[in-house]
Amino acid sequence: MAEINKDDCFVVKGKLALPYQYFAGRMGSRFIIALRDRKKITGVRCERCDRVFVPPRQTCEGCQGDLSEAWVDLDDTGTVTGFTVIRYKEPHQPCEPPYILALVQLDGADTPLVHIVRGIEPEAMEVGLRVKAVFADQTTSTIMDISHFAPA
Amino acid sequence: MTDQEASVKHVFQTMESRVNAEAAAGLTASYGYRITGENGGEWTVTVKDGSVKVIEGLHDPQVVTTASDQDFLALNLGALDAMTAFSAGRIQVEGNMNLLGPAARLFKKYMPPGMEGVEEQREELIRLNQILSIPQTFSTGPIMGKFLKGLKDKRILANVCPQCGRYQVPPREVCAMCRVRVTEFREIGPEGALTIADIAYYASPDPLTGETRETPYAAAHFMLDGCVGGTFWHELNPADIPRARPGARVRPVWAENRTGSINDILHFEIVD
Amino acid sequence: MKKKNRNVAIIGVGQSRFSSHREDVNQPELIHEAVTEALEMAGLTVDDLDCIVHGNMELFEMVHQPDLWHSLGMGAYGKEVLRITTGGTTGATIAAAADNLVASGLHDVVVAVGFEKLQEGHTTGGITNMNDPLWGRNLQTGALTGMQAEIMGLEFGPERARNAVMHYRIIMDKHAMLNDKAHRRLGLEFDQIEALTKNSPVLMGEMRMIDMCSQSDGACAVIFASEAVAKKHCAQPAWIKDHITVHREETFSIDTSGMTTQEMTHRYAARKLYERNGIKDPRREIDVFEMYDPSNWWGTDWLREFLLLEGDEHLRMIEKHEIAIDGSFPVNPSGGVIASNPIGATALVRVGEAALQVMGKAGAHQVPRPVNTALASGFGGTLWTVLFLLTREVPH
Repeated sequence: MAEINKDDCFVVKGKLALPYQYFAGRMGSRFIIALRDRKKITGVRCERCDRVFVPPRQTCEGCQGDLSEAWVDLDDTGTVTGFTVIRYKEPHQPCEPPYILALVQLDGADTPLVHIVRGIEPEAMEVGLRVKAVFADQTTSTIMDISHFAPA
Repeated sequence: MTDQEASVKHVFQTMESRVNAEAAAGLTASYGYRITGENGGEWTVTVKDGSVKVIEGLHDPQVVTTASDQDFLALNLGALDAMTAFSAGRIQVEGNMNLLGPAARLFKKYMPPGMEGVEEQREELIRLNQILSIPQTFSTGPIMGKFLKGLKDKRILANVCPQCGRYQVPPREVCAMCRVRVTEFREIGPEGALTIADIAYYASPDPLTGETRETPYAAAHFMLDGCVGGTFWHELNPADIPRARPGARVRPVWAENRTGSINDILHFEIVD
Repeated sequence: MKKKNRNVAIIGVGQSRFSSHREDVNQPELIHEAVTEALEMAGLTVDDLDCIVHGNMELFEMVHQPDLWHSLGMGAYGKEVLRITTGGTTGATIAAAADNLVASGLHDVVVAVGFEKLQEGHTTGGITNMNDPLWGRNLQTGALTGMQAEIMGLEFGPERARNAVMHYRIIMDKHAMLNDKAHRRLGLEFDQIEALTKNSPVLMGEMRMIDMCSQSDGACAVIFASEAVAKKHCAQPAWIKDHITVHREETFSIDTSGMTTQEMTHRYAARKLYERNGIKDPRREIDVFEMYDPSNWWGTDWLREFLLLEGDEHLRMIEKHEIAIDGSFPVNPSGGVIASNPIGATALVRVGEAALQVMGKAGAHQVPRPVNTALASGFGGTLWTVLFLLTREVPH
């Protein structure tokens, strides 16, 4: 019984399964509720830095100013500033591959938001594409209350 | 107390109209309330097949909550936090406490008479509930692998430090005290003595399965025959919990179907 | 005695309100509350921060690398950020790291940010997950154990042990009532001991719900500054004289053979810290102790370890209320971990609260006598102990 035998190694299958919850907070909740109930995309504007953040956040990261009441409505249209095409399958994904994940900078916003683009072939996809938000019929109180963005 | 003011009675009167259908679905339970004081009383709330019935008196509830009329009203008005009140001994609970969790969102917030419409104006705060389940594989390595394979053959293996002579179970690559490689294995037990038992009454989900264990269970330390040094951490047969005392002789109960896992020993039981 | 490269002081401490009902904020927003308060106390702005050291228990909120997301609330944009996680003692380790960073000369102002949002995760499940998946995970119940109660019952008799820990519990609650940041402030009285013990549900062995710490949401930020910055901005900084980290994970079994030296890390750390700082009588030379006490059983037992006592001296200290805020050896004037436990922040809060005592800024829970020397401890998983020694006088 003195040797270490590599044949004694084997592999056990298991998992990590834990429940959790996520709080959107007051700012995040207002953003989601506007998407869900008013079909409106909202952001916040820092006066001092003259920047509009979408999705909204409570503090301006540049000047640390409080943005909790500095809400602005945005148009549904914007420009793609970057994208990638997902081609592999994983259980946590929102839809069947291949699908396009893009950075969409809405007109009037200084930060892009990430979402799915549908209605265009991956090969035809390009930076600079003009897109428009398509809202979901069935809402879930999440970012997917925007169903996707489509070529405008 | 006039009809225009919030009261314990009004809380119970309005319960059936404040039910959250989502929370009631799939829940079968009966809750008793013993509210003490001038404006108190006794009620039973029964949840079954998605519907909720509130009747006066205690009718065989599975769990009974006792509180004063003032505290109960304060709880319902949001002026008193339930956990705080419970920890401070102002609420007492008898019976199956595990039923209280599912009932936490059973009713919409209580509104005093005349204020029923106000609820809708309160700010909605979004929360997302998820279970993250990530598949994983674990490599045993040669030392743990040898130990687990031993269990398959109904043998409990420890390894022995060449320097200090201490046994380690489960075996480890090096002696934790001397920091030298340990290569010699020896079989210990399988019988031994109980050193100390930690009895768990509070269930928590097992991260490997996501399921909640049945309580009570006892994680215990056993000094197995022939072992010099440390104890073996495993489980005591829950049925033996009342008889658990330091020094009690124990033996392992083996699973019929053994796969090379720590669960090849179901638990240890006390030998009469 | 250890001599630091250069002196470091705490000049600002910020804490969010600790609670289990913080649905109104997401994680960066919660952190922002603490960071803003710390900066205000220090008289600094975000631009004065050179580096941020961030920590919380890994994956407790089921979010990986939350430091990236939290940069929104920490003022970390464009700055150096380090993330450290050492289990329950994270808060103290990030304090040690912040101290080392400033002492080294690499940075002049470093903020340590510890946080946890336990309502968003599953604490016991998360802690259980630290165990070996092939052996211990099915046995462990998070940080809950009845073994300390069992051992103390055997040593002192179950009635005396239970009575002492209840006195400890109620003293901690009375302190929490003086701290408006504390999560649980129950308003307990000593004549409730029997009723509380009887009615509190058992969790593990003789450990009951009343004995255990809370599960809180909260953030804490502590600003560490070089001597030059501290003297410029703060009338009375809290100087970091020394800190020590000790842990042992050699054995996870009960050794009855006597073959292993099972000296508690607390005692070992305390011994070393006192030796190298010339402290001969800690009970008299230390003015206040913010101890990391996850339960009253541990708090009671560890009092003996940290003060290097023997026998039942620690029980007598508690029975005579010497650990009360106006006693001869105040422990946890903030209410301690039993009152508020946002795990990733908790150990940092101990250092922060000790600093507040030295700075004279603890408000209603300020110890009513001069605080020249304060001790703070952190504790985590593998008996990991961190001890901090803070002084009113500049170390030299």
